[in-house]
Amino acid sequence: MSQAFSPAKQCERRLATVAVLWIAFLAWPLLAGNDYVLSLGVYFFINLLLIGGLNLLMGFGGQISLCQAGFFGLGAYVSGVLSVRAGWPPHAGVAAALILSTVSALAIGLPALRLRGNYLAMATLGFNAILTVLFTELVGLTGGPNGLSGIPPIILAGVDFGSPQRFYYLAWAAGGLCMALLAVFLSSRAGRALRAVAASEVAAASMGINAFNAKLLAFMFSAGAAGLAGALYAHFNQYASPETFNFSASVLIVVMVALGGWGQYWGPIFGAAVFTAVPELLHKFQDAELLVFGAGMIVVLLFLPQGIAGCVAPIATRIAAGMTLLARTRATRP
Amino acid sequence: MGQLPNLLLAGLSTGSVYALVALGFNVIFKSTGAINFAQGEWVMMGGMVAAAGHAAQWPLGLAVLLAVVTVMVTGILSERVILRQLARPGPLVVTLVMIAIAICTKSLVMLVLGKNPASLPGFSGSTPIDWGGLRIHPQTLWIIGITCLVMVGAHAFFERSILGRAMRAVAAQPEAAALCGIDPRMAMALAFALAAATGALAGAIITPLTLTSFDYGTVLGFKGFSAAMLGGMGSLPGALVGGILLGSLESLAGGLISSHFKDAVAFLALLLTLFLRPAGVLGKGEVERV
Amino acid sequence: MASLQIDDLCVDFGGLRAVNALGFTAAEGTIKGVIGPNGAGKTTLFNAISGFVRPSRGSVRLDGIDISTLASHERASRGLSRTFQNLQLIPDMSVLENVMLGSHASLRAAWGASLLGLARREELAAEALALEKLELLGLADRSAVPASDLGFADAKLLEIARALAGCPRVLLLDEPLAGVPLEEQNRVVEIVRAINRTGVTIVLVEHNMRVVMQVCDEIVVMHHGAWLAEGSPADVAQSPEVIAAYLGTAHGAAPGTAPGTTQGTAAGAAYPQTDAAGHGTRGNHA
Repeated sequence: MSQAFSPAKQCERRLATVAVLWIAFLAWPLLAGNDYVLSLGVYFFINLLLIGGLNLLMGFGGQISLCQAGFFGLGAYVSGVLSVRAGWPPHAGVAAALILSTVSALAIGLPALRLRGNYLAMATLGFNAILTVLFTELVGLTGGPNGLSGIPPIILAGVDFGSPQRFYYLAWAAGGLCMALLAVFLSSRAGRALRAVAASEVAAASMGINAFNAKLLAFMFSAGAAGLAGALYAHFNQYASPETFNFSASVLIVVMVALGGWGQYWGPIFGAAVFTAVPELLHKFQDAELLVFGAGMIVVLLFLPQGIAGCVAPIATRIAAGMTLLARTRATRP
Repeated sequence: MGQLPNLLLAGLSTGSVYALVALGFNVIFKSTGAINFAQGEWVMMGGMVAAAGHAAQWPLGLAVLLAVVTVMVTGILSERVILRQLARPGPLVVTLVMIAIAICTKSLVMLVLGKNPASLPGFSGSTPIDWGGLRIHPQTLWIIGITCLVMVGAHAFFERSILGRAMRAVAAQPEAAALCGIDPRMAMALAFALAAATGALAGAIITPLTLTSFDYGTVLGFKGFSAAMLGGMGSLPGALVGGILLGSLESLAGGLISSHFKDAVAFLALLLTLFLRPAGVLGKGEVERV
Repeated sequence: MASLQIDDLCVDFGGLRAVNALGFTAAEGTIKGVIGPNGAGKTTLFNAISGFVRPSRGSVRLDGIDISTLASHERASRGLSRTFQNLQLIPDMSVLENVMLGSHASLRAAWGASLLGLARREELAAEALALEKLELLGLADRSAVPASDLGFADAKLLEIARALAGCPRVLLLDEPLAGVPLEEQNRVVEIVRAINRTGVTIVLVEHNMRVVMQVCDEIVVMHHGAWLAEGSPADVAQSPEVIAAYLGTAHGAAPGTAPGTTQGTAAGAAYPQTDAAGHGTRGNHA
């Protein structure tokens, strides 16, 4: 391989691929026969925010958060409660959700990330559990175990995003924005710093990298993405209930990061696709649902340490190379 | 007589169970560096198998033994068949694999033993003993007694026996221990066997007081984990102190403040420990700050 | 250009004093060698200078400014770069990115700007600089491969390239020749000299005495963590204390051990002129 490698070029390639993919995704509402199938598309983008955010922290930063579903719930309840109980316009609620989830990540991360080791996993485990108790027990605000219903749809610039058709484009934009930000970030100075910290804090420090800052900011990004996802979920679903956001859901999201391919840029796309489709498929197994899921997870962890993206990427590269070669031979032909 | 002594007694008995669960966490944390998410499921499985044995007319003691052996075998198999396949068993991956094993265990118990809650009779009946206004369920005494025995036994094992010392050596210095002819794999298998067995015992002795069902393990696992952190991860006396401290805190908070937020106490304690004393109440500050 | 000044530095590990009241100065633009038998505390000294271990006493000054209270990453930001005896590369990052990592401290883009892609020009400049350093070290044609694919000798060079990308004022090199095949050692020596010619002050820990004697302007000798001798290579080579320390005859023991007859030890410290190749391999086993 003598071809020059360049982070800037890699970033451009990723952005171009995202653009192509997202244009293709525009066709989903046309292909989806009914609202249910269409809504799966919406959930795909919401899951992409959850998994993509966590992949930055986990895959590139080497820290596990077991509170991704908690931040997801925090976003959903903050935006939901503000619009149902306080009459805030939904888009203001979405902004508040984004800010509050990021700030609570700051509050958890400040003490937990100062410790060397996987203390963030333990702290977030506790935080998710506390959030679940709050969602369930603050009945006056959250509606308790029955859930919060009557969450109004988002109305932005006079456009009502109440229907799945319209909401799809909102989620589409949020998902695309997330992937674009990640592409730019990963090939930037700060992205390199984060990856270095995950591999060796000693090496990172000797390069002048503040490991604590890098991890804290990645954690805040992951929580912010989850908060945004939660707010979108609440206004799309117009209902939120505590069990969607419990610890098991957090574990599921961690698993989806690993399954998609942790530390792989394209991993979250696969992770989100599986996360969206799997519950539908697993329902077929009825009672054995959990067993199939757990066993599948073991197989992935043991035999596909790079996840789905790690298997697909080499094939995709080969196809791309083949196509370039084909194009070249065609062009040189007289 | 106020309610305080009764609350403290209740705290002592749940705290004892937390201590046993914390002991399991500690043993596996020491040998792998991972958080063993299956620990709570083993506790649940212990209760469920003992209840099933009892339902099949087995004598109570034999049912409990059956539970301990079954769960121990499950623990050993988890390590031998699954964990050992890992090419690079770092703490992060082992933690994830243990989550998967926990999910499988829970699901298998549900498929084999059903979804209904199961119960066991008290080991010496359930007529409360009245002791100067203090009403004690006899099972409480069993729980406290068995916990004390297990803790003393574990202490003796790790401090006195050759096998226990070998395990500590592997945990502290794997390469050096291997040079001395101690097989780290053996130590790992032993850690899983011990953790599973104590978990099963904890599940079997608490079931007469609380019932059990397949979805009961996760929360209990969390509480045990919080207790382990509270006392100091990896420390044997820490498990006991953390468990009893947590049990009492919970019981007091539930009785004196509000039963709704009782479950949050453990996690609040977990967060506060992490932030204020990350090495635990008994820890000696081995946690490195950056 | 900058000087590095160590004063009364002590590092304790439990009851063991690894560095004992050590003091020396690396003058601006010079190459200072740090030598001493194995276990003399050289790597610990480097760790203390770069902030990875906390000294129990003493100070480290960069250009007269005390940096001993700063975290290691802050020291690096002030122009104190280092390499590691046992490599600290990022294995799954490309060679080029590893070098770009080195210029982290000299880039200015904030996190937010990175996220929004506002620092493209700076990024491209960092890339060009990294390529330039790779060319200097003869690794330019391998810029795309992951660092884990490099052989040990190339990985060592990559560490130097990465340290250089930070445009250091003081560079600490921890055994740059250890594990490097004999035929490539001269190239490394030339590179060290070339770096020094650009005005970088270098502190060099190295077991290969031939090289230390050749390239260093001054040498400080450590023994059991303490200062033993200091001076020009010629002075140090003739110091009786140094010869004794290296041969383990500090107290007049081991009769019959005539200096220079012990082949393959670092006796070359005392007799650089006799050292052709044999001693040069010592670092390989260290």
